[in-house]
Amino acid sequence: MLTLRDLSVSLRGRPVLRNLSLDLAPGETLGLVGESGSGKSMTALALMGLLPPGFVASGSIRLDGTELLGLADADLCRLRGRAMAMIFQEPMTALNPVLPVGAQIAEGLVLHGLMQPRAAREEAVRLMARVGLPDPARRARSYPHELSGGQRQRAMIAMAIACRPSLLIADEPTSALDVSLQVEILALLREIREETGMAMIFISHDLSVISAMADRALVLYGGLAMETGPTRHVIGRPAHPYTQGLIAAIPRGTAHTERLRPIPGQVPDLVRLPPGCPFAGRCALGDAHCAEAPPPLRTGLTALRCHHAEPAPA
Amino acid sequence: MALFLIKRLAGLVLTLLVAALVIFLVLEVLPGDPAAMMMGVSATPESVAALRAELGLDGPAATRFLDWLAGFFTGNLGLSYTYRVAVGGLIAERLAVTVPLSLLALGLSLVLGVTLGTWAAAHAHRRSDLVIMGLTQLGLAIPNFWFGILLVLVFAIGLGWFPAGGFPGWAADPSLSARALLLPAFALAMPQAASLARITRSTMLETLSEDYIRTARAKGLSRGQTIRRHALRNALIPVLTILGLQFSFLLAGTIVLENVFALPGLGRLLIQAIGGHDLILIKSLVLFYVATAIIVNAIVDLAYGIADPRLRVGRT
Ligand SMILES: Nc1ncnc2c1ncn2[C@@H]1O[C@H](COP(=O)(O)OP(=O)(O)O)[C@@H](O)[C@H]1O
Ligand SMILES: [Mg+2]
Repeated sequence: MLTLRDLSVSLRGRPVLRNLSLDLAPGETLGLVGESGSGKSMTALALMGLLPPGFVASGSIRLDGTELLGLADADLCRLRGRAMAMIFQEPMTALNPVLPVGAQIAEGLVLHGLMQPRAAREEAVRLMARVGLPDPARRARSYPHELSGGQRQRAMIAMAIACRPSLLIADEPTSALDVSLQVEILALLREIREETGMAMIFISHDLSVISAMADRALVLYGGLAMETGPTRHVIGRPAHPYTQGLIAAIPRGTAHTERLRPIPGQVPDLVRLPPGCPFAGRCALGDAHCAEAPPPLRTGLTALRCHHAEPAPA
Repeated sequence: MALFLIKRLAGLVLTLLVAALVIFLVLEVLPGDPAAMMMGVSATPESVAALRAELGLDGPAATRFLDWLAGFFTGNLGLSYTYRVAVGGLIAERLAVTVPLSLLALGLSLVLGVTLGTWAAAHAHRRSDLVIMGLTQLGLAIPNFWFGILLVLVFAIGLGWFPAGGFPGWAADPSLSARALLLPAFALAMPQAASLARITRSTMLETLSEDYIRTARAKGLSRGQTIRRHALRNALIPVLTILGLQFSFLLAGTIVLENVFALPGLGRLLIQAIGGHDLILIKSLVLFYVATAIIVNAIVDLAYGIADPRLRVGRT
């Protein structure tokens, strides 16, 4: 249903995202993972056609057969919220502070011509009940500041699924929440996915969340897809040095015995990327050649881009 | 909520009392005896004393202050020396010009300022934005009385669409009266519209970079719909805070423009009262202006709480 071919994003001629290709089947979930600043949100915004001013996308994005790149904004507006919807990371700031929550949920239903305002308001209350908001009829009249962070994220989810999109992009929907809430919200998203059969692009910097949510994983770094494949292979048998570094950095055990090995060095600024492999400077296998030439694509059990590492044979 | 309102109301009353006291004391210590001034140089000390008694000028200051305040409720504010009529009636009659003039100017400045500011923000750094911002610079730099004279030259004397000045009265000719207020209202609104446009542009730009604007776009709203339904109200909340201040400037502007356009409003009355050393009239007029500014600012404060649900008190 979603096909990306060589999706690239640039800012004033400088590459930000490079040659991203992927296929997503109906009902399938792709996990997009990488450290903060890797370009995950940028990818999501490129898909929605909502890149910040100055950023230009090229390549091809096909959603249910429609090419999205080059589409007029008016045509994209008919797809946004209807065919594809998005949940944002910060539940504190992603809702309009001066409008009641119910009205914000109902808005899309009326906008896309699915319901009359009155029916949409009733549907908003039903949706709020579905996402587990207590006392939805009263909560619908509440303003965002009267809801807790978890409740706001539930309201965000209700808003995103209101028009029953076939693709939901969830950009770190639980990263701002504490752990027990995180578990509840992930369970809710899985339930809704079962019920509606929608495809999902689930974004997280946390590999354990990705393994709980995604059929396939794509490891993004410096705007480049480093490794991609079935989640169990990417996490169980990672071949790319960056993926291996990410897995080594997952906290294990209890708080006292935490063994944390963060990858040394810093994420490169997306708007000042080296011409070659963006990981070259931090990589144990990196050499002078790595930073100069883009890494070749190698396929096996997983597909990866590296000058040195080989994927396990399929 | 009720307690909050009572507190605000008490604060408002206190501010008004202090303002009245200051005005009263300033005029009290100013040299010049109103009665002597009315009688002229040839008056005898006896006749002046008699007039002082008649005007109630001979009591203790505290009594006269309280009498004066009570006059705002009973309408008995004393006699104007120059007009020889009741001050209360004089003010009421002049309000028929000043109130519609200032409301018209306020409405014009809001509509123009918010529309132009929003347009400029939506087209930031493009040509129409530059043109609008250039115009607002001009609007702020030109004194409004000068702009008023320019409007008279072009639209009254040149094109003859509006009267050049004067005011026939609502009863005599309502349509001509309305047209007589249009040019001065426009001149009055211009600097306010210019500064409102600039403020609206900057708060709108800030609002348009908020996360919830991106949420609205992700829902499928067009840029225009997003601005109208989600950005405008948020962008106008900070604008509202300065609206009370703007209104104070606007009120001061009516004094100048009523004189430029020879409109029989409060402002013209004030200038004439000052020219005639009509202290009783001046005292009440000044308090009237000050009280209006204070009350409008209080109303704006309350409106702020209504516009921004995060500031609503007593709700959970
Ligand atoms: N509006 C913008 N202007 C310039 N650079 C931006 C802008 N938005 C994001 N970036 C760049 O994109 C990078 C962050 O990408 P992002 O997709 O948000 O990462 P992630 O979601 O993986 O944490 C940052 O390095 C930042 O420099
Ligand atoms: Mg992000």
